[in-house]
Amino acid sequence: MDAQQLAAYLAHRMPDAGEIAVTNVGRIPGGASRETWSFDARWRDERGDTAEHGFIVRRDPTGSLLESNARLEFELYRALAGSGIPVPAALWLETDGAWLERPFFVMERLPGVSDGRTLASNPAWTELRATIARQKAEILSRIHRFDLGAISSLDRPGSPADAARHEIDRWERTMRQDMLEPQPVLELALSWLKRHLPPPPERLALVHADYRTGNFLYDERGITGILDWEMAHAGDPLEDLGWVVMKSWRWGSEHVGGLCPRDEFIRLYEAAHGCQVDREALRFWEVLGNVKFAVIFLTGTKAVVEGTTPDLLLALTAFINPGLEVELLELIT
Amino acid sequence: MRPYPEEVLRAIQAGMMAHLAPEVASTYGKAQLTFAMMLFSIALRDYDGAVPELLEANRTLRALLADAAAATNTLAGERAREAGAALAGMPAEADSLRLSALRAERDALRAVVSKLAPLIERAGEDTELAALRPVRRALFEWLRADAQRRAVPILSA
Repeated sequence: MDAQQLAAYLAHRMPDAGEIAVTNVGRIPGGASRETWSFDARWRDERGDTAEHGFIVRRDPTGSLLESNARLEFELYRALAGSGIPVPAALWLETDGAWLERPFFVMERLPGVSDGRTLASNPAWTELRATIARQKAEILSRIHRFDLGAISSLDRPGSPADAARHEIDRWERTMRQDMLEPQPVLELALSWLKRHLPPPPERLALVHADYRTGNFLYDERGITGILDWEMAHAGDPLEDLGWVVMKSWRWGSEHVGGLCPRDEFIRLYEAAHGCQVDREALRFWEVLGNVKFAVIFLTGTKAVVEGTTPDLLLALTAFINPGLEVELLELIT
Repeated sequence: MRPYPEEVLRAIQAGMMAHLAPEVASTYGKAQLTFAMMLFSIALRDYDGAVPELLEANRTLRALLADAAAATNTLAGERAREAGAALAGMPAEADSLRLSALRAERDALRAVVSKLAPLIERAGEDTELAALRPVRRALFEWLRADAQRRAVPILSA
């Protein structure tokens, strides 16, 4: 992807713009399910004024940690605009691979950074961490209150009673399809999950499904945008909370998401959502989250071993799985 | 002959840092180089001990499965059939010390453990499977130790 290709695409999408110049094209590390690129563009608008904006391109990968749906992610960003859930404006979805080799979509670039490690460890950011923890809980509650009817293409279980089983089936199916070697710890965890189904939620909710420190942007005032919606679906809202509290997202600290103690975050969510979190049900979703995370890396390992991706991050993430196995054995013992 | 394979890996690692790293300008490229260095370190960690670790893993898994077979002799009905079906797939011992042969044996043993997993997991709460509890404890301990040995603190470092 280069500046010339991007300028040609902008000219196609903005026929009234003149003198389009694209600079600072660069791929952002991470984004292991879809390539993320950033660039700046300057052009002369129809009034002759100079306009300047930062953009993000999310492009389909050659091989990935996830089989995800770009159209769904684009539609979600569109549907969530103006909802009180901070997301970047989704601009164009392009299914024609001719422009940038593969399908992609373009969105505005929001201010802020996503670096979880610095957020968790910077000694000067104690207050910022408290602010972000509260915002994170409040935004999660807004996500769980969002009208599911606004996103018709969202994957959903048949009923609230099927929510847990639907997710077990999804990740067991993916595991069986992608594992290159037997996975006894995941088999033990799947057996445990099937025997410890939680009570169904009152109603199905929008589940972000990758709601963690590292998947939102922040600046010195707090959260500026929630990103990475490619796994979103309808389900049990506790699924998101189970993912939030996983040890994997502590970024070297003792705190949930590197932000605050586990019980404190649960209380923040309870206060924002006006509910009482069932701790046993939360344990189920924490186990499910660890299984899901491990299965995602099995998919990445397969892509690396079969040579469908040159991304070394996917080779490295395979080595996260032993730590997840230790955690799973702890949780189900 | 020298250099040994691990020395070749170290030489490539040092060469990349000396010659390629200064040439890489993009943030993405620098991140990929860092991942490459980490992967070299993992390969070096795992290389020297691969054969003894596989031999030990296969010996331990075989012993655990023998204990499981003995314990399941006391089961009856559907549980006995479930255990019998899982244990029917016990593989022969590897006939060479090649990594490929030892890995194939380990994978076959782990496949048997995987088939037994639902029974072993249930044994924690199902009183009719109480005979399997010592095996369950030993297996969980071994799986935990094995995972800890392989773990790389990528997210927590």
